[in-house]
Amino acid sequence: MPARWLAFFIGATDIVEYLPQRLRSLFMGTAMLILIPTAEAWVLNVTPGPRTIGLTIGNNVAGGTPNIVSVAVPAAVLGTGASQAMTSDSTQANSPFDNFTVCVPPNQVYIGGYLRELTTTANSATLSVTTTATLSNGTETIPFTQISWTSTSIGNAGAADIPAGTFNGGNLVLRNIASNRYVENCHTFNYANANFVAAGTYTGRATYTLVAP
Amino acid sequence: MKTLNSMSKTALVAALVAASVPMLAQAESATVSAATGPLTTSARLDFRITVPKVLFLRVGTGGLYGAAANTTVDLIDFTVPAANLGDATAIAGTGGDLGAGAVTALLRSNAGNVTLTANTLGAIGNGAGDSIPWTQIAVASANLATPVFANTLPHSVALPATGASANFAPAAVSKVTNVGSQWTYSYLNAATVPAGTYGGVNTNNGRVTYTASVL
Repeated sequence: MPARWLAFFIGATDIVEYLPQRLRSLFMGTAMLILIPTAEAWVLNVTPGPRTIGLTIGNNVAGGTPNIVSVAVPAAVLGTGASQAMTSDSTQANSPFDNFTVCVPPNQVYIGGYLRELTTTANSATLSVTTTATLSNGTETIPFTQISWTSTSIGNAGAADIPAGTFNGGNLVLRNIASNRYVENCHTFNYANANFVAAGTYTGRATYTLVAP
Repeated sequence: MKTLNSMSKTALVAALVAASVPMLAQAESATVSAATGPLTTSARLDFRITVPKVLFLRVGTGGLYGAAANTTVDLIDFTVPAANLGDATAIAGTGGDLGAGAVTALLRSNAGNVTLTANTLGAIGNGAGDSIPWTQIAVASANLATPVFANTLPHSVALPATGASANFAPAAVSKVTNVGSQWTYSYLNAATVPAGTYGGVNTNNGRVTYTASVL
């Protein structure tokens, strides 16, 4: 596993500014530098540079095909409200930021984004996700509100950087990303299975958008 | 292991970031740059929920939808008092999962219109050459208490003399059928018939088989 450089908030916030990011295995084996991880989120600093935003959902490979998150509901529990874990065709385990292993695909889908600017400013980019109101099998529908997600990442014990939530059938703001910061998480999706719906294959698309002013 | 100081670690991070971030022009990963003005980028994620076809029928003893199959066949018994034989006094039954000749009737499907029929093999015999036609068995429908259903699956056809009845499943709504009723059987006792025990547990044509099907 490559060393991951991360900064833990360890009580003095200025450490974040000076310590390199994502300390991981590199320092775990040294006696000279031992940082005790606390239950805080990573802070991943992006080197200032030409103004850029970037967003990754799922696989970090060229090709232009979105990943798909899916579930086949067992007949015996259809519409019982027994939540059904969804899986995906994502194979993205490592962070594009530094190749550190953060996700466990296919159950987890990688989501990451950043805003880079020449200098760290008060600007921030807004990460949101938009869906239609429903998934459809061509005739019948399932509300997108039936799909929710949890958020985590390996080694990041703090609060989720891109929080857990539930699609709202429209636009949902997930978080703001400060300039020269990289934010990422792994989302695990669930189908609430609250309704006894018509047979079929229901599909829908979520579009994640990152906007900087 | 070589120990890096803070500055060298910072430099390494900078190198990592500089090397990795500009390489993010990939599928469902997009990078946009501009010196000024708003920046917008998006990436997509598709969702698929596969829902199987299901068909569930319960008449009498059984579980709710999703429970293991229950093969119990209830027996509805009618005993005609001698004083009332053939006087057209309807005779209430005993038995059934709800007692007093009543049963739970549930039908559930998500695959479009269901066909539901009652099927018999002919008149109910006593094994001695005598018989009672199925038209003498009436079925009343009412709200179901457990699980709660309004009378949405009324037994709206008579039991057939033989063979299959007409379809009496209600039309599906958006391909979904989820209905229930209480069915209560009675013997109409319209004719004076020879003494004997007519029907029984799958004997002497004493069984009604309810069949549900969906395409």
